[in-house]
Amino acid sequence: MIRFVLPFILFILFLVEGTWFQIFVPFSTNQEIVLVPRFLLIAVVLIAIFRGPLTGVIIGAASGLLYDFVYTDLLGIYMFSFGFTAYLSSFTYRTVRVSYIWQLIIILGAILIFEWVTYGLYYMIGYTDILFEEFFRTRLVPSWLLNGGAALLFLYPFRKLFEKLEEYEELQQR
Amino acid sequence: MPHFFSNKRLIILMVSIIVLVALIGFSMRGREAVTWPEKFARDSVGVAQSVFSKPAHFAAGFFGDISDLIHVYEENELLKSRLDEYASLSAQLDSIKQENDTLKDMIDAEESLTDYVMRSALVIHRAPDHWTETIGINKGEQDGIQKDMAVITAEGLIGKIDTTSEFTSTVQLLSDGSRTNRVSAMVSTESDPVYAFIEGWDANREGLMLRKIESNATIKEGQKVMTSGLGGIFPRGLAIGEIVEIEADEYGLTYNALIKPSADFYNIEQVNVIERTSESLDESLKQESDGEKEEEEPVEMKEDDIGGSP
Repeated sequence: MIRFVLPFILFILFLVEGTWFQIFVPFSTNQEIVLVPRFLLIAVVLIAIFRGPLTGVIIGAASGLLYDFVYTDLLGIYMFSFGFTAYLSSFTYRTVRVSYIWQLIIILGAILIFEWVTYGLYYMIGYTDILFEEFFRTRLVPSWLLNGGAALLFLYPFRKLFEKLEEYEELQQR
Repeated sequence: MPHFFSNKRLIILMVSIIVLVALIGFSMRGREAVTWPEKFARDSVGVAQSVFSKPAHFAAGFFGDISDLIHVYEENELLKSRLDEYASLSAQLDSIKQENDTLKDMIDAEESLTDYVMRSALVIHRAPDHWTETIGINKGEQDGIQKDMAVITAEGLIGKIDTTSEFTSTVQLLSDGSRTNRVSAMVSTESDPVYAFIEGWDANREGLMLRKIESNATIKEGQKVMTSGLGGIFPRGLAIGEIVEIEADEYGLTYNALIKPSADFYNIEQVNVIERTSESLDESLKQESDGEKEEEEPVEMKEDDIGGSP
């Protein structure tokens, strides 16, 4: 059963991004900023840190594919961005695993890379024509603040979860 | 960082970029329908989204109710003042309806472009990255939803059906920036309606752009804009918004107008999907309208299979 915990949590986060967040934080162009929740990305990065690059990339690509299927008509953009970001942020060192500060820094870096890659791809195929400066002001900085805050809430429960998972796996190996 | 970009990794990266380009190319090709894995994913996720969205809408509605309660007095005053106006308007409407029916009987017109059936649906998600403005609703092909049908809220038109799967569909909102996002619209003036296209969203000024208005048309700020029904799928007369600004386009040949949409694109809970009942006009009407073609201008050039309005 415990094997399905991670996919289940990711799926819940996926639904929260598209349904709950959109209802409770109504989007408005008045505010000059675009708040985009990237909770799924935070979880994928943490998985890449704690479970290694291969698991991270696979889970990232799978979540990205679901994202592409459900929320956009274009295939591939989120699959690639999630997988790529998961790979780049898979710092599996012990120092990172024990330090919340390092994890937060890596998550913020991952958000930068992720937002940049998706913006670049959308810009390239002509879905958006905003310039980098505007992208930085209206999307990247708000995204950092919002998702950085969310990451602070996620770090502790996720570490506990990964500890539980490791304990369980050790038990099984015996 | 020893594991970054060794030879094998580099090859994998290259391969995945090629796959990415291939997938984007495949999905940008102007597909008629989505593929079956997409439909399957959307349907299964749609079930969970419906379960998630109902309590959320309920909770959001509850807080909305509380704030409504605070404004109830002011609203009551306003509504009272409107009530007299309403009584006279509804009497007028009745007489006009009767007159319209008799006139329709006289010309034997059974269908008109304004006829439609409506299906209500619940909004179950909205694309979280606001690169594209789409929402998902919990009705699909099984409920008779088809691509390009008009979608409205109580206030007015919000968009059209973009893709459908068995039990869910996605709606492309009018505020979406995609180039294919255009609606044939008309401005109701005192004399003949003026036809033009709703094309795109002006993010800086927060409004829809009504383009290709003929330069000899007499339009004013404050006039109502609605769907023209000439595009083939939308019925006639769905409210879109009203004109707030008029300007000449960059070549000075036609006018552009900024439209303040009557519907709110942001807090959408329940939508109605509109299916036009009259497929196209009768053959006899079509021939009649052939003579008038010169007058019916730009819309006609593109969609001459539909003919003029009755």
